[in-house]
Amino acid sequence: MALEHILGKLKYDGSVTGFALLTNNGQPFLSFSLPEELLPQIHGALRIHASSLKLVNVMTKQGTLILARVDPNWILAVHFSEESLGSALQKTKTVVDMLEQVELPPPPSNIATELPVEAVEEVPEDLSPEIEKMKAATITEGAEVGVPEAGLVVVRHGCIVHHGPRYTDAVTLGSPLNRLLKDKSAKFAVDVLLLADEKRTVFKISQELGKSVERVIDVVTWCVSERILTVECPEEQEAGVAPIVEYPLYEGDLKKAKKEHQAVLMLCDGVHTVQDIAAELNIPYFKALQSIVPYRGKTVKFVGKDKAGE
Amino acid sequence: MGVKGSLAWSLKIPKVSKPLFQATYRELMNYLIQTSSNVDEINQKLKEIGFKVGEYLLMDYADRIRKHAVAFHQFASTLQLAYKVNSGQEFTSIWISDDRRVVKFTDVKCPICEGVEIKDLPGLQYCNLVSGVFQAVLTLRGFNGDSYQESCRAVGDDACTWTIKLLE
Repeated sequence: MALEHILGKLKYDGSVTGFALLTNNGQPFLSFSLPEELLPQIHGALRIHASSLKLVNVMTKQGTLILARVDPNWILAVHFSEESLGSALQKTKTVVDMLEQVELPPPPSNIATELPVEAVEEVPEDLSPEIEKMKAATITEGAEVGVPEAGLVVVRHGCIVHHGPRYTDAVTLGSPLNRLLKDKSAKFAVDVLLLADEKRTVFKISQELGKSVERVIDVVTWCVSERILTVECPEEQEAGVAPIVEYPLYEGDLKKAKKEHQAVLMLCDGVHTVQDIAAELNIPYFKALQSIVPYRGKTVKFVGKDKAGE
Repeated sequence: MGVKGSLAWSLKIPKVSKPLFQATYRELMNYLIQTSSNVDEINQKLKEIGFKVGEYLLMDYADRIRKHAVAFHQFASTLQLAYKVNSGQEFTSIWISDDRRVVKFTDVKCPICEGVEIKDLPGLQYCNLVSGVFQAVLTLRGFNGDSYQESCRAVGDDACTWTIKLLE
């Protein structure tokens, strides 16, 4: 079962207000609406339990927070608003059991190994100057490595969405970029990032979220401009990739065919379309077709081929 | 309904269930709506798909129909027959202009958009696939004509009407 399917169980659970996968040092990675004010409490609990942590509950102002170890690298944090402790523990345990069947990637190497003791408190109230600085840095850096300007990237429904250099930063709760993302489109942008798995297209993401393609394109376009995501849009996709085209193939004896049909049938070699044959003989399409259809299903068969495979 | 059409429909034409066809068509529309930026684009794509469908149908049509239209207005009867053998019902009415350069086909019980009601996409030609089929027949028969859906029940009109027009 895929990671997001398992996490989907929590996402669609009405009693869950948020969840995140945490590294051992308490850095949220795949976070979904986990209230940021819980981070200090999470860090405190992790410091106390450290490596012995298996399954603990932490009472919060808004409800119950359950921390559960998934593997040596990851801890699942789930926050419940209205749920009995037993049920909250059980729900978390069920998801952890499923997560154990999934091979989780190791935490990104750029995440600090030390617990960010004061990190949350140090985040300045007014983030805008910092964000502006970050934006400027991004553009310069992008130009240096030859990344095309965001304005030039046209995100379409068929584009495959990949993680960009700042993906981790964007999904890390409390980071300026994460806040900026949430300011832009609240939970929706986070959902899109959560589903960007290097394989899904914009269209697929929109289907899974049940949202319009346009909204997903908006978010992805913005994330591409911020280098949170990159997109791979094959050129030929717009032209219809590889349409299946039928090519007539005559397999009978030409001498047995009507004389007036022979010129057309000679070209029915499984390589030319009816259009090609008409053009080559300089006759109307319909005339070429009329020379072929009497033999269809007998000595002429139509071979359906992917045009790109010619 | 002529005898030929009735016989062809009863005996010759393999059939599929109408709900299956309608559901498939509806999902095709949903896909086009989700992947297009405006109504014109949806209409255009639908017509292009219809053209391909028409190209395919023409193979049957070329073989089975002996009397092909020679003059433009004769498409009134050949397309009526084609509509009948492919849908099992006739156009409610067919109008030919005095100069015989325009033909309008109307169906008040269009099987394609039956039961469909779309209020938020004005200008949508839900059944424009038929226009594409007509366009294929005109173009591939060597006529310089245009084909479009003039009205559509799915968006609130009384009937579905498709128009073909001779351009030269």
